[in-house]
Order: sequence, then structure tokens, then C-alpha cells
Amino acid sequence: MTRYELTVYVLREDNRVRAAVEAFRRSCSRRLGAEAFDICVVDVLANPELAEAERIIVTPTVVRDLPLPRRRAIGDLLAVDALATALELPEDPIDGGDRS
Amino acid sequence: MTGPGADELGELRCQVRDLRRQLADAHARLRSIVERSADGAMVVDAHGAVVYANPAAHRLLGHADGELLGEHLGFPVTAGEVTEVEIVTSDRAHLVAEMRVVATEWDGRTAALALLRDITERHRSQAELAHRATHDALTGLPNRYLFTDRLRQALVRLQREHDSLAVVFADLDGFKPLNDRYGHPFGDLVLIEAARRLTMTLRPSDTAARLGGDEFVILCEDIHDATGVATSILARIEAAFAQPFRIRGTSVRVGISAGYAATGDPECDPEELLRRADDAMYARKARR
Repeated sequence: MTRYELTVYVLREDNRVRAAVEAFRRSCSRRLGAEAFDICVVDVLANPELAEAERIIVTPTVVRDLPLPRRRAIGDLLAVDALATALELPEDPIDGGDRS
Repeated sequence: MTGPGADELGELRCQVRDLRRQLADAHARLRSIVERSADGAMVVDAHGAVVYANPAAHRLLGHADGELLGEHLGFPVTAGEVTEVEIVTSDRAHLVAEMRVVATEWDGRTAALALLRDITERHRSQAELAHRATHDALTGLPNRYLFTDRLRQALVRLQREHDSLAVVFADLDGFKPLNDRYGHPFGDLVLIEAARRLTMTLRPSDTAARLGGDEFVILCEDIHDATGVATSILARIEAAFAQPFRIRGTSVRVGISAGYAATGDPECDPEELLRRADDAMYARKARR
């Protein structure tokens, strides 16, 4: 089973961001299976050194760390289908495709 | 069949040269529009690398001209037509930008054109307006609107957490005579100092607000022993006002009366709870 490791870089983790991350997590769960992925959320204000090491210029940024090669997307975390395409995640079995 | 004559070939060559020049001119004109645009324009390839960025995009993202090329910024996505993103700057004064994404091609491959507009100022003034609508301009404390909203939310949370909450109602004693004697600007300074002293009595989870005039309220949340917590807050408030106020070189005594009402009922009406706290405050005032 391919394991996916994803990191979401946000400016500050407020309620709006938490809700968007949850929507993205649900989408990943359908595409990858609940046990096959990890999402780590990095608050750029709280961890500036991590953001600098990863050269995060825009938030939100989502990085697919694993499997390699790494993939990156920026913009709206609620654009779950477009994010999945950009990060080359499998299709959502429920709606079977990309709506965005 | 004979081919075109020398004259005809010469004519065709001229036409091709003219068309090429026109094309180059059109290209240069378009490029100069994009290069001079105040909005950032970037083309990002399918792997998230920047393949083109205009000077405005470089400025907005804090890079010198040309530095963005090849940068693995990330493939831009939006759910609707437009989304807001933040630009992380080294001085931690982050910018806010509106981003539009248009699907395009670059050298025959799938790419995205991201158009970025700096809306930091607009964002700041919106945040300022929202702050003004929810806070008291004089003391900077939350106003009645924000307080009632926080109280409603706290009551909803009671459903999950089975705790209780208390509302403390306080008003200053002898404020009106001070205002009459020294004038409103002096009275304003008294209110600012009163707000500061009240705020110092709070626990981190409490919210103090100015309802208007010399009336203040405090919301005490997530408490197991509402009566105990509220009683100790009342004692702290009275202690905070024991020392005289020093305003513009004048020492004045400002008293405070406070009362509280507590509830563990999520269905409790916020206005009713405030009224009960107000009544308790008057009962204490009357006993003095």
C-alpha cells in the first residue's frame, strides 16, 4: 500500500483554516483510505524556521512529501478536487472524478 | 506548370517579413502590458514550478527580478473564481493577495496562469472596521454586541462540556459626580483606568466588556464551581478598586459595585442572565 504524507502550511491555524483542513482530510480519506495517509499542519507564524527550510512563500501551501517525487499546490484548501489533481492523488471513488 | 516568378517571390518575402514584424510588435505590446501591470502574473507548470513571472509578481512575492523562475512555488488552485492567499515575508508582516487562476498552456504543456492582486490594505481596513463594530472605542474592550455573541457561544458550549458559566455585572460608584466636577475628558480617563483594573482581575478564559456608560460585564467560562469563581472575582474586583485613581495629577476615589449570576443551563436566555447579574449588583449596592 502506498503511504501518503502531506503537509499543509498555513499562516495561522484559526477556526476557518481548521475547517478547510478537515474538508481536505475527508477528501483524502475517500481517495486514499483512512489509514493510508497522514496530514501534518504547520503554522508558519509559530514555526518560521520550518517554513523557511521548505521555502514556503505563499500560504496555504500543501506539499505531498511522500510518495516521491514531491508535489506542491498553493491556494484554496476547499478546492479539494483541484488539489488532488495537482498533488496527483487518486480519484475520489464516490464522485469518480474532478469537479473543479 | 511554372513556379512563381522572381518578382512574386520577392513580394511574398516582403509580406512574410511584414507579418513577422507585426507579430513581433504585437508580442512586444502584449508583453509590455503584462510587464507593466500592477497585478502579479505568473505561469506555473504542472509540477508547480514558476516558468514566467512579471515584475509585479516578483515584487509581491519579495523576489528580485528573475529570481522566481524555476522556484517550486506549487500549482495554484481555487475553489471558486478567486481565493485569498497570504504571502509569507521575511519580516513577518505578511501580505494578503487575491489570486485568480486561469488554465493555460506553456510551450505546449499544461500550465496555470495565476493573477495576484495585493489586497493587504483592504484587508487591514476591513479588519479595523470589524474591530470598531465589536469593540468600545474608548476602552478597547469588547462592546455589548460582541459580549452577547460570546455569551451565546459559551451557552452553546455548555451543552457539550457540562460546566457552568457566570456573568459578573459591575458599575462604578460615584462616577457621575466626578464627571460633573472634572468634565467628560477626565471621566473618560477614569473609565479607561477602570477598564484596565477590571481586566487585571480576569483569568485568561474570561471576557470583560463595556456595556455603555460606567457599566462593565465579565463572562467567566468553563468553571466547575461557578459560585466560588464568581465570588473570588468579586473580591478581586473590589480589591482592584481599593486604591485611589490618579488622573492628571488628581487623586480620586472610584468605587465599584458588582454582582453575578451563574447558570449551567444551555437554554438560558443571555438577556435574562444579564438581568439577573444586574439585579444582584443592585442588591449588593443597596446593602452598602
